Amino acid sequence: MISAPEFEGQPNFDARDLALAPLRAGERFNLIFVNLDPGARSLAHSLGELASQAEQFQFEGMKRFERPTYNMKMQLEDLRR
Amino acid sequence: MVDGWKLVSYPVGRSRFPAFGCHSRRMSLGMTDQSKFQVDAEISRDWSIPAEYYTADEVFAAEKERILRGSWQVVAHHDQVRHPGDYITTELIGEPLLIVRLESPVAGLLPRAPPSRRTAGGRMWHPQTVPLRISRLDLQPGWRFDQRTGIRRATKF
Repeated sequence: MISAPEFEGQPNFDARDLALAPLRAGERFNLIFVNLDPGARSLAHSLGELASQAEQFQFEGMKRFERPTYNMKMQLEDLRR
Repeated sequence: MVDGWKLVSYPVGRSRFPAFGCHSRRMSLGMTDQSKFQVDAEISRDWSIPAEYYTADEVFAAEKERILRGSWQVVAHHDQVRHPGDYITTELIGEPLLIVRLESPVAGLLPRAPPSRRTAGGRMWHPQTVPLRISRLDLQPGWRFDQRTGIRRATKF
């Protein structure tokens, strides 16, 4: 942080607290992925076969419609039927 | 393993669920009351986790730390940060995230605490441990960001 006008000298204020740290991120199929673990394997490695399997769906041509809320495990149960 | 009962765990990293693929070992999520769950000795007949695992908070807490924190998660779509300088804020398992479109490729930024306030793990910053709610930082009008170093200016903060 370079400056915080009218806030210098305030207790518990340290410009270093407001720095932003880089986070691992990657983009594939027009989707943006992040990983909170700096030591995690690469996105490409983690996607594995999914990367080639997903090509048939042509994600690049899709638009964002909505972000639903759902139970992740229920979703997976549906997918494997 | 008790005769007729099985320690509740489920496999992650199987090709069936590649999204979980960050761990290759079987994972116990910490629920040890095995009497609740009876698993068919012929495990191939069914493959499902106990119903409580779909909703239990303690299971979710374990999953956040052991699955979601260490694996790649989708947090945005290309359309949301299409142009250089576009950004969004979002959250992943409680961690506030700022996603900025640089020239290329996409870079993510995570609020960072000074070393003295880092958690025992040494990497992650937790909002409740610092006096300022950095997760709201993006909501302050007049605050300016630098793509590499974070905030440049916080007007009249």
